Amino acid sequence: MPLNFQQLILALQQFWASEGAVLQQPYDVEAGAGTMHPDTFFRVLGPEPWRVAYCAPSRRPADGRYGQNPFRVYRHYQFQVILKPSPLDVQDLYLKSLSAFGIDPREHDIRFDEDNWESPTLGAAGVGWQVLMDGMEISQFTYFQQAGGLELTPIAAEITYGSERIGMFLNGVDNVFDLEWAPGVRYGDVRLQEEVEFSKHNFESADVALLNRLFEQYESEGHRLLNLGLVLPAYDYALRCSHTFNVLEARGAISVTERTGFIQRVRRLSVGCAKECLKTREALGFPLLKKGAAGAETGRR
Amino acid sequence: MRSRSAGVFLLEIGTEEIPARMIDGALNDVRLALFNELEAGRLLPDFDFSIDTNIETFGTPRRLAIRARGLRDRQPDTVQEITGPPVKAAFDASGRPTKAAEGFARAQGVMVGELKRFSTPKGECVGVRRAVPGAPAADVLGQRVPAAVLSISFPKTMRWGDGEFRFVRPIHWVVSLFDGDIVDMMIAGVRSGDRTQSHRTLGRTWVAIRDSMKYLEVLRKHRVEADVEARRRLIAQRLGLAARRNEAVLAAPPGSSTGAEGDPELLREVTHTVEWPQVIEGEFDATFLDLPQEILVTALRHHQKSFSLRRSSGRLLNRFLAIADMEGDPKGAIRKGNEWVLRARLADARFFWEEDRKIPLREHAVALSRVTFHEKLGSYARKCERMIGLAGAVCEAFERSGTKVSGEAVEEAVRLCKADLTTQMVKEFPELEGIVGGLYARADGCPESVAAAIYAHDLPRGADDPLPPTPEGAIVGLVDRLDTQAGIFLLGIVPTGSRDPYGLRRSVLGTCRLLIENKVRVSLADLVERALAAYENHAIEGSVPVSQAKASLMEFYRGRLQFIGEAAGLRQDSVRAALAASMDDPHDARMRMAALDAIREDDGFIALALVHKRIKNILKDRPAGGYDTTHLKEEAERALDRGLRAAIPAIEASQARADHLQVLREIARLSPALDLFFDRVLVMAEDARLRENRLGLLQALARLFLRVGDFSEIVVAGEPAATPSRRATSGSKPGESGG
Repeated sequence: MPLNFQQLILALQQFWASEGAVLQQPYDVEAGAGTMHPDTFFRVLGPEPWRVAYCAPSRRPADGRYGQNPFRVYRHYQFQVILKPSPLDVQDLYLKSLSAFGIDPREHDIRFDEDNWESPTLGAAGVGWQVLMDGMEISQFTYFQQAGGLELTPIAAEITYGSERIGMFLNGVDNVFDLEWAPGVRYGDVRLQEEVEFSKHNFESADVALLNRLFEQYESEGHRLLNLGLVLPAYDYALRCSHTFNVLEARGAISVTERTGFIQRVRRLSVGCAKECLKTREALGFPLLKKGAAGAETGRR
Repeated sequence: MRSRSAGVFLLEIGTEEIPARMIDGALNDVRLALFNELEAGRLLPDFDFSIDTNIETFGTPRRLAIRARGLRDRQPDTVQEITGPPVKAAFDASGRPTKAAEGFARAQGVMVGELKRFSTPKGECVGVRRAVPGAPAADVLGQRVPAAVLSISFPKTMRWGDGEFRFVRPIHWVVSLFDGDIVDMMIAGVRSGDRTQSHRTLGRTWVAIRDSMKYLEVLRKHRVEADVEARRRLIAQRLGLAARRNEAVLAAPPGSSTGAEGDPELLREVTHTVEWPQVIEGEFDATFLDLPQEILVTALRHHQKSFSLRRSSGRLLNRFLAIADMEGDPKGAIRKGNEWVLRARLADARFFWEEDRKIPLREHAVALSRVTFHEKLGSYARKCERMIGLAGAVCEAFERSGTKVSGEAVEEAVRLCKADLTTQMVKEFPELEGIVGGLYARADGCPESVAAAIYAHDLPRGADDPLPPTPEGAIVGLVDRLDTQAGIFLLGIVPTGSRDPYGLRRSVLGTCRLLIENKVRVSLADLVERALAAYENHAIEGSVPVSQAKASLMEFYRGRLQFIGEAAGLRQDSVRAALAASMDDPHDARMRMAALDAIREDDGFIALALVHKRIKNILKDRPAGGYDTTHLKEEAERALDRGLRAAIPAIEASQARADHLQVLREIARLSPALDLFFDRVLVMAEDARLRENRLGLLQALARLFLRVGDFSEIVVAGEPAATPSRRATSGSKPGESGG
């Protein structure tokens, strides 16, 4: 029997925990990607080693399809892994992880196809691939080169599994809403209503004036907190700005020219948070360097 | 262990997957860099070595390899001369060695009697000559090769792990062998050895390379085809077989010539994504065949890198061919997976097709005011307004050249041609720009002339692409390109070397081809001026003066026209001579180039080229003037004048028929009269009136020549400073017509 949706998540957690990753939980502020989780965004900065894995809901208002498109949803689940520094055998580890949920790499056509990643709002960029299995994108694989506008050393590898895609593929279902989540419960039973309502909200009903006001307030509050040295609370406001901007964009309330301006404003806040955070860690003497924390031994084969 | 092959160096860099688009460039770079290092390291033999035959490159996504044969196994020995004190200081008056000479000899470890005498710029000195043995090849390679590898220029590089090194992807192993022995080196922290890695999933293992000449064979045994060309042929062959099995051919990408088969660009790309290619055949739901073929073929090739099949009648099949990096598909998992993904892709394409058409293209066009053409040049809506202004002049040029054009259709097409930029389909498949607009226009019930013009206005994209089949399409394409060129040149951006961010070379080449191949008579300078003037009311931040933009754009056109002539196999100087006379009408210039190149085969023309040079020298810096027939004194000058006046009607008649070859023949007929003139007549006569009159006669002749070309640009064999007069591509026909 192929793994259902929750078994897939469990298998990934199990696998990466056994590889020395800290199992984290999703962050509770809306975000468009697992990368925005503070345990990725801040931990890839500076010299401290770090391994973490978690499942993160990603909200992308413009991807909503009112629950009618069999492949696209407004909110999907990314399973995210950070390995810092990137071990030399990171691709092998990844291939091994596929076996953990029942894919034998010798029976499939697995390819690493160039796909570089950039997040202007996070001032982050990386080089890597989309991983294709039998022609289907199942993961993103990225060597972070910059984050928060800073050049990174050492380099972190980020692996992001498209959980729904993989689940659908394993179970041979053509519609995400038919995917078994738990015995007797389908993905649609859990999430369909949310897709319908949020699609309506994001495309039709979101209050543009309110969201514009909120964006302003979140932004200024973020900078105020940052000035007080409260990096993590300030970053929460950067995330709120980012999500508010995404809703405004889905709502069609942002012109092409305005778009660049909004992105710049979020970026200024998140870059500020990154710089401040690095200072804080440095003042603490980069504690994880000494502890030999999770996965700190590098380059093991 | 030593192999029988001699002087063979093999290097393989094993990496994580290198982007397909970068592999060819990297292999070229590494070949050149290695050649340079071999030369600088004095390992090249004196004879029988060529970079093309002695250096081979191989590559897959996971390895870049290079093999050089016929190298020296050590550098040649050299002789070093060490100079000591001057002879005067080395020997005293009686010829006995001084302390200085003895000291020098001692320091060099020789007897004073063994000192030699060398003449140096400082006078004659004593010295020693010492043989310096050359270093073994392995030492030289070990020192020089790492830098050559790291000098490969990739469009994008990265760091990994501790972040110490930078390369296209992390390096995992280095094979480095000279005649079977490991050449020790470190590249990006990896120590060289003799072991390579086999295919990632097909029985992955480390494999030792014993004989560099068997490199490809050993890898093949382990499911890696490292020879790029062999891999490409293998894929092409298997695709062909699969197509035949389906009684079909491979479909060409949208925008190809009618009836074209195959997709060479996609083939090249997939070749670089696999080590052990296999063709997977799959099927999709026949209901998707309702979508336009252009969209189906693109949906298959764009995301899935799959080939479409069509019957010879043109009808698509609901089957596809994908390339897998595998051997066999016993459980059909790869086929099923590809079919599954394709279903999602085609469902998306259908969604876009249906969503986009909920409003007509005309309404999509309204949104163009919010789509940026260039941040300093404004929106696409403004671009379309400028294009409409420019279209009138281009339509007239077509009409004047005898081509019927519907001005209304052109205007409507210009208004709509960019509207597809706002559609979901073009956002998903940018390569379908124009084509999608044409399809939507047709579906909206626009007149066919409008739809066809929109559909094809982005053609030609490459040198081998077909042109828009209708004049309306060609006109929309022309005004689109002219407007972009004008705008970018107004910003002072001129493409140089490898920097051409707006694809202006391609754009200008497109304009030239559209004008030349449609046989349109225009004034290029006039069109360029109009295109620049259309920006008059835009306050462009940081723009250059219009006159400067015009001059540099025209100069840029000259370079492209020169390229077009040479690419057609015409001699460089024939092309230059034609363009030096005039380049304002590209179609006319193209015909004159061909005529000039052809007439060079005729006897006597070269003499005319020399005469033109002579005339130009005489006339240098002189103001233009006429001449008076009654003041011609000598018979030779009267004969030349008679010849000239008799020739003019015939020349004009030929010119009116655009028969430039005949014009040149008429001019060549003046040769004997010219020879006689220069033989008998002193141009620079003392009598000022005679002199000015003769100069006037020569000016009239020079003007006649310049109707076709500046013959003085023709390089005549044996002349000093002659440049090679034939390009390497001399195989093509020099007389090929410009039409």
